[in-house]
Amino acid sequence: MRLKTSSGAALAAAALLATAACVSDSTAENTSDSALSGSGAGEECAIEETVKLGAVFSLTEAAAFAGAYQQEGLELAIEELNASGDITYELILEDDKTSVEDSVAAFEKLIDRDKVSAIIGPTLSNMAFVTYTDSQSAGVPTLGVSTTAEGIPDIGDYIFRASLPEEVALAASIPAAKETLGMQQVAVLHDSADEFTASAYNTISDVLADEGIEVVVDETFETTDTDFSAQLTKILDADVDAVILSALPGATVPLVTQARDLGIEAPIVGGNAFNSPVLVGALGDAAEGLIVGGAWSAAAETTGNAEFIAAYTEKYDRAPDQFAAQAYTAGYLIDQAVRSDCDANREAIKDNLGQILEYDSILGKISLDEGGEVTQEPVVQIIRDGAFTLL
Amino acid sequence: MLDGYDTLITTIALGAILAYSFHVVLMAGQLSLGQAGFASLAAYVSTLVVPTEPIAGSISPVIVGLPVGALVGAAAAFVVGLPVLRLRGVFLAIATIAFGEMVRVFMTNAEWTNGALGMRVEKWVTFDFAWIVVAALAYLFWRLGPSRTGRAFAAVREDELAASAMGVDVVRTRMASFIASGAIAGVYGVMFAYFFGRITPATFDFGLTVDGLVTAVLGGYLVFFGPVLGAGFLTAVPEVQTALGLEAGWIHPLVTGLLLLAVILFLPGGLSTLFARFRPKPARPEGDDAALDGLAPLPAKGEPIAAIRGLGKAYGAVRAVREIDLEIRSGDVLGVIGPNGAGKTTLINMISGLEPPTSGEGDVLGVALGSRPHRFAQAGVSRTFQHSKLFDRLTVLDNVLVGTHPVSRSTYLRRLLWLPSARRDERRALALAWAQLRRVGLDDRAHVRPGALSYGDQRRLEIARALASHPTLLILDEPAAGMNHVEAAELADLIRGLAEDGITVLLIEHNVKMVLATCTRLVVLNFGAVIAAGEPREVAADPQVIEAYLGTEDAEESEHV
Repeated sequence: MRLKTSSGAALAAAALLATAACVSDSTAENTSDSALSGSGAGEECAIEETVKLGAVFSLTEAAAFAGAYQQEGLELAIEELNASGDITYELILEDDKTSVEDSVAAFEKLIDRDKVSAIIGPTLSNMAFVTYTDSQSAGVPTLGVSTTAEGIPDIGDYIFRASLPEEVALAASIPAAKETLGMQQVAVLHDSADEFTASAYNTISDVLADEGIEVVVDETFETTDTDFSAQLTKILDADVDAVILSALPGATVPLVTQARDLGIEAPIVGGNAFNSPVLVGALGDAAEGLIVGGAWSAAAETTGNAEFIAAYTEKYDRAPDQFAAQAYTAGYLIDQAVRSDCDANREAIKDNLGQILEYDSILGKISLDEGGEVTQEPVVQIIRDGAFTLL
Repeated sequence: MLDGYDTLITTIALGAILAYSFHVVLMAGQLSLGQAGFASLAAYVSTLVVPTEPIAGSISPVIVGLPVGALVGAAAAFVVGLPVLRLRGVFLAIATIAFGEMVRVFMTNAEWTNGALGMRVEKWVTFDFAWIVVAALAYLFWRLGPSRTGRAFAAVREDELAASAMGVDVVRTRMASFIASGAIAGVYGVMFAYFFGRITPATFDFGLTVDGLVTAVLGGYLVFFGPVLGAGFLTAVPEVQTALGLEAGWIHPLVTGLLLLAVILFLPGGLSTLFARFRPKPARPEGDDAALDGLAPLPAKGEPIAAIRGLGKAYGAVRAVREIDLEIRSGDVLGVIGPNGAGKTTLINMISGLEPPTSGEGDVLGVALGSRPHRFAQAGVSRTFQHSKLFDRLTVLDNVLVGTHPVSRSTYLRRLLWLPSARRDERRALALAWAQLRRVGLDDRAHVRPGALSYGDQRRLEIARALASHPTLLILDEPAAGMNHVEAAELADLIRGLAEDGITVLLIEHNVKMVLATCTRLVVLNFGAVIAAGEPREVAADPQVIEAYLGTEDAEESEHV
């Protein structure tokens, strides 16, 4: 008897092995749901069924500084959209806990269980590189709002981003800073462990070469580092006109503070990571004179910007930052894509997202191309008297 | 049916695989935390060998990666183990953490790994593939449990000294568990890389180690599927909370943390405690004396067992044992007496291999003094300890089963293949263990823990465990200590019975009445040297002995009874 059960189990295991060791090539087959397409077009579009949108942000752990703003910005946009038109959106929000595992699980839930029409997020490029291949193969249009690393839109035709690449932001701030400061010799510091900052570093080098600015110190650090004295001492000794910094917010605060404590007086030029009121608050006096290239400015007179800031401040009792502004814009971009054919099926959203041209948003005129890349005018700001001022 | 839960289910599988790499070292009582390093090495090396296309059309290329990952992990564990396995407890933990950090820094700075940005690979691992690997691991551990190797792991975990005295090669067992841990961690690294399609050096950081350790401890070591329980619990709790409508980000970790705390506090063996009680108890075999017949015959009466000349042991300037010459012949019941601190225990520690002598030479059953303890046990020396060294978390029966180590053959590999010979060998070991339990009268208490036994019963259990190895020379270190009149008298009968069966006995005892009643020869130690030896009654009457040891003129009145 024992022999029988054990050989049976062995047989079953062998059969399982034979099937599971195979790689299945499941191709995405999106069935379109007629209830998700409505009547009318543009502003008049009305869709009976609730349109489900998914969002994955890092609401807890390391990247929560950004995820919380993104959540608030996007929720504000969805609230406004639901109040204004004949399309009802349901936002399903997932927390990826700043981990690759949870991010993958969250995407799978949104795609397969909630069957959302589109996904917004995730917060970090590191997770986007893993999760976007899943939404691409499932055929779910996915719009990044802070995934700025090089190569993200190339993952596939369902992948878009409404986040100004770090390289574009930095590329704009360097010439602007050169004009204002007349800098000739600079130090470059970058985080080599992050996709976003590492890809920005390549751009910085190119732009500096184009502008004829000499790099006298070129140093790296890692995302989780907390002590930068080795790199900063070299900068102090070199006596540079400016420091170009490509870092995530986590490292930015201690780095800038340590630089000022050490006696580095040179202006610091940075990218997206500087563009947050929280950062300025955390840095205090050390923030003075930081030059920031970014996608959004509270001081910019773009369409609806003042109303956005007012509504956001009233609802959440704090000022929005760039993460909030970009997530807010993403809500409107998805809405635009749905309205153009009055169709909230995945295929329609994908087709129409790639057609958005010079949409007038709080970020200024913004376009998405079929390849998924965003085009918008970067803004360069300087921090004076503790406030962002356009340069 | 499982649509949309693939990742979740696979995450449980991956968590379980990682936890198994901790399970195997915890089973042997080692706190090793280098698994992240092994996993990282294996994951990166596997990217060099795993083909980019499916093999033969449809077979997952990871099939190639798994053995490579296991080999890399095992080889790394072996190389790291050579120096660091000398360490124990927290020191071993720190040394292995250091190794993991070294790997991380190396991977961050190497060119071929693409530095801190990491590598991207195809996602070749599906959830069924992951679960087959878990099933295979669970099978390996299921078969390991009640095998000779599994018992050796448990013995080393419970008490290394007692394990070595029972013939378990402690160094080898620790290394085996360390290498197995490395191999499993390697498999985990490869599975992780090819499930998520991306690895960075920071993936395999200290946080990963903590996750694995928590999962393994939470699941518990009492049952072979403990790691699966742990991984399932840790993954399911946040999901259940979400399903119940608990949303805010900070509540999840809090509730999970509280549940974790509750499990650790109330289920010391982890979640496996809940299942361990359902484990079938091995039934008492009937008419099993045939097993005893198959044992090698003991040497004939009068044959030399041990010959020792000039034996000494010095701890710095303190000479605990000096210039002892001793000869033991088969059939002897040799009593060693002397006041406290006379060097009795040091003497038998040297004879049983637990301590190397600092001077003198000799051999016991052909094993030179100074060899490692398990060699003495394998040659036929078995002993008990002055303070019981029982395996506290094993049942009485399992304690005695460990004793059969030197007289049984390794059954693990044969158990994996369900060979009938393995079954026969395990039955024989069980029969030997039951026979010794009956001999000391503990057969009705076979399934309780030693802690539930009275003091006298614990001493008898130690004797049963020592007897299970079918010893030629049995060393008893104060077996009657703490026993009452009746128990001591029964013990004396037992020892006489053993001598009649041909077992040579070396007995340290303060109970002079018992020594006189059982021993055929007596040696008296004082200040590390022999002051008298010979016929028990004559020695006991020696005025020098009375002065040094008994302190009064009448031996009969000074019994410690």
